[in-house]
Amino acid sequence: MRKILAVALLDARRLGFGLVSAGLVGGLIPSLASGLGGSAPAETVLVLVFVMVGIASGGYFGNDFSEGRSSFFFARPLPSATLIGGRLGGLAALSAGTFAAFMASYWISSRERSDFHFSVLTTAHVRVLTTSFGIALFLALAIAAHGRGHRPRAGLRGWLTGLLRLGVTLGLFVLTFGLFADLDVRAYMNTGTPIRLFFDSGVIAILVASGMAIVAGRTEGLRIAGIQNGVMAGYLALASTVVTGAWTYVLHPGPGAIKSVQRGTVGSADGHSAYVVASVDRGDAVTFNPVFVLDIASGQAQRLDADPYAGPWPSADGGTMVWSQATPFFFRPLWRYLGGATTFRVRRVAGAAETLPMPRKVPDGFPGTQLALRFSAIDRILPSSDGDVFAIVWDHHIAFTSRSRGEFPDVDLGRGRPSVIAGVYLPSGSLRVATTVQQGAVWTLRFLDIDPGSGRVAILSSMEVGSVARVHFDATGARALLVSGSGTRASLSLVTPGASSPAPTVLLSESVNPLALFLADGRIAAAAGGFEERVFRIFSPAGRAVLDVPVDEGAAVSVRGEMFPGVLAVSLSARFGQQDTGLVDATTGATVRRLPGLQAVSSAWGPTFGGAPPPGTATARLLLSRDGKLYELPSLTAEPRLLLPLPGR
Amino acid sequence: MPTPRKDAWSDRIPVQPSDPRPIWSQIEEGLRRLLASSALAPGDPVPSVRELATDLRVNPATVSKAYQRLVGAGLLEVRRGDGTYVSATPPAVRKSEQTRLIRQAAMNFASLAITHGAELKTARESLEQAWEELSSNRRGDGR
Amino acid sequence: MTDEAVVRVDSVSVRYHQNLVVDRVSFTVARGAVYALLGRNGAGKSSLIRCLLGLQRPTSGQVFVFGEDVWRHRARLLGRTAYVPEACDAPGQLRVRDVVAFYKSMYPAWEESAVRDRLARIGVSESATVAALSKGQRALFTLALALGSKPELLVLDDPTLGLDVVARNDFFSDFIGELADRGTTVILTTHDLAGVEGIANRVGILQGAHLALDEEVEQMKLERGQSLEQVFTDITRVSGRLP
Repeated sequence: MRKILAVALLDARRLGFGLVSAGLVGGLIPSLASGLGGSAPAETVLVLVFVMVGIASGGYFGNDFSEGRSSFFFARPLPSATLIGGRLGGLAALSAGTFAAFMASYWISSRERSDFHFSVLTTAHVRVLTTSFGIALFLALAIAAHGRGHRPRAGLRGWLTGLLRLGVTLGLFVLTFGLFADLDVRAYMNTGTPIRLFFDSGVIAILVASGMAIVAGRTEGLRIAGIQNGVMAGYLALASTVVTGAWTYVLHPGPGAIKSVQRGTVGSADGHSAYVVASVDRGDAVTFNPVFVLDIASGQAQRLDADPYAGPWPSADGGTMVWSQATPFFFRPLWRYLGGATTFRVRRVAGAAETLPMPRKVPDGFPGTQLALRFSAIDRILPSSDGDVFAIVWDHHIAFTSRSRGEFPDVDLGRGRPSVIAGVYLPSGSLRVATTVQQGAVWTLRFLDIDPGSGRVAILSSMEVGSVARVHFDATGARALLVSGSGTRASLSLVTPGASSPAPTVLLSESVNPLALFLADGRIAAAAGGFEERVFRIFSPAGRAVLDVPVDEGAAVSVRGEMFPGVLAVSLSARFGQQDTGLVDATTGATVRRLPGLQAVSSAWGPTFGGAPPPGTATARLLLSRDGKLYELPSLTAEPRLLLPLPGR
Repeated sequence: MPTPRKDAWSDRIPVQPSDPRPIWSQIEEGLRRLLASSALAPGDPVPSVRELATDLRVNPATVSKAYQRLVGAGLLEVRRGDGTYVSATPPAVRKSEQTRLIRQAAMNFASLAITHGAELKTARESLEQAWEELSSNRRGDGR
Repeated sequence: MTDEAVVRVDSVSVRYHQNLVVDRVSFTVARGAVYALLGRNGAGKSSLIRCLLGLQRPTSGQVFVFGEDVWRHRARLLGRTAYVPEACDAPGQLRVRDVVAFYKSMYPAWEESAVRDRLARIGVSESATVAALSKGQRALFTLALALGSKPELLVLDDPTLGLDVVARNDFFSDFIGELADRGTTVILTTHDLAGVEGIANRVGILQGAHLALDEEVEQMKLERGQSLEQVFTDITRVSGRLP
């Protein structure tokens, strides 16, 4: 005990004056800063002060192992454990003294003395202290150990071995960190646990490595360095193994791991598959929601290794699918360097996944950076129905690429940075898009036809719209539904982009949340309103009101899709109750069935791109319960069949 | 008046560590010579082991060994708590022992002289000279 | 008194990467002996010294001090052993009194007043920092600290290196005085062969990673009829190459 104190006292004597002075000065900084008009909160300044304490204490400890100095401690009847204990005691004493000095001058210089308390000290400070101490000790120890007279193997062989070892270590570290970061970003966004664990365990490893090196190496530099390197290498190997296992386990679940189906789930326009966004049984803290491709008839699901922030994007008929491969974000710059492109995958429903080469002009990340860290610069990709042409919407451009004919031109949509809000391929092969652009307080909607091969843009029409505008094309692109408004109210119109100077036919004017869709036979179903007032109307293909469907008092209605030919799936929400689905005959307006607690799964990622599944197909008949169960309604009268989570789970 | 320099024992007992002869032997011989030349008189104190060892820059054990031999030979005596002194009374050596010692020394001297190619006449002259020197020291200083 | 071995070096080897600096060296040092370990620069003396004190683990072999493995029982055995390194190893920023206080807390049998006297004699002020001392003062300070613990075994690594004549004399006075007072067992390395010739009673010469010679000084000089310096030069002048 006395020896521990003696060692701690030495440390305090060497560093006490300097660090306590630093503490005193540090305590003045917050009030000085505010006096000069700036801001330097006490917590932040204290972090810097503790970093100083850690670095000084750790640095001095490590440096005491330099040649000609280590014998001062080791040639004494002083056990190694006592030496380490004494140094840690010194660290504690210095920290306490410095903190006291800081608080003293902070109190003296502070204006709000009555409001004073010690809560300025947090666990973060302790962490900072330990980390800076550990790193300083490790580095100082390594430098002291390598400063010895006995150089490592000289000559070419030594150089090559050293370089190889450095390369492997660096590579392993990058791999490990990259996987931890990926795990963090994909699955632990709220807590940041993986990276924090990596960091904390790294600090512990550094401290253990230093401690072991001191105990087993004593004054021999070669052995100290060897033990440090050995322990850290072992730690790195262990960490990389653990993170690879965790990364694989958490981020690569099979369909059996599905716990519940999430709201983002949509059906494919091909009629027999669905893209299921699932929550999996990988721990409650996990924020990872993988996408599974479900074949409804067989119930087989396969996980799509897709990037959640970019895609997946299907073609209008659901036959082709494009998604961004979920490469660990950290490795993407390297990936891009090696492969030359962010990896987008594409496949036909029945086929295997292939790589879709990105045009050179399309950047990975936001303008100004090439790193696709979380968000890609690509807004979306529109595959044509034959799966050959792809329109890549990025920034205010559309870049076309054809799998059979190579890269096509990049189309700049012009000044003002217009956004593409809807698109559909015409039978001719051209891409018809709707864009909005804001100039001042004026929003302009434009319909364009673009020829992928030549890049020629034909402006069909333009009109002024409100700040909120949504467009939904029909399957051929000849007609479009337009929602335009601002604030809470909007009007719904039928637009024919192709005709010259078309006047939109207003279907619903100034209503709340209007939503509409095209039925397979061309009719239009539209609903709007909230709990106070509501309207549910059927229109002819030309836009003439044909039927007013009665809706329950006090229920909000929204039309979801055409589940069976001529039968609409409509969402009914009671004010404080659950959401039910009503199946409504579009010709008579009668509710033929009510499905309590179930929501029809909408037909596309959004109502603006991609198509709706043909009525009566399995996709059109998907239902989702509030507790995350996915059902299929086999027929108008049958009971819903449970698809996911897998029955028997 | 300048402080008189204390007589360094290293001047009076010339000890050469590089000399092949054992150091204790050199010390012993040196002390014997001092005794013989009356530089040290009966009852005089001799330096402590510590003092002499420091002066000569030799291992105290070596000095100790030399002293032990001289004590054993009766030339020095140890007074408890007081130190080591030259014997007040010279040792009573048996005549036969005396003769043997002198014969031995003579043999050494003679063999040394012969191997160096000296003649008996030169050797005899050297012996007489040395005897004269030592005796004059004894007589002359009236210590 | 039984002639026990205070230090027993048992087939010790020291290797740094490919470089074998000490190759299966064995020797013993009896109680009360003064053992001079000699060798040219870079011969492995300092490595061996560090192994003797448990500061470094031999690549192979063991060192026994007071009958126990010094690597494993370093802390206990160094309570009875003192080390005088080549250069003072105390941190330069510390004051003399801080270092003395540290030593005092390490050794229960610390001779406070004797150390104080010695420091006064050297002319070292207690409030001076270690870095402010002259080279000679530092060497004598280091010796004073070593002797203050009344060690049974004293290990010195080239203690008089770079000292002027006066400092060297003072050093030997203290050192020999210690031997006279306590009969301490000593192991020392040095380049000052002439200075140490009278004091060492056993000598070991490290040459080519081996102990080329390990004999009583007296015996050796009698047999060879040469001074220590001559013997040393003969043995270590192997290839005529400077280290």
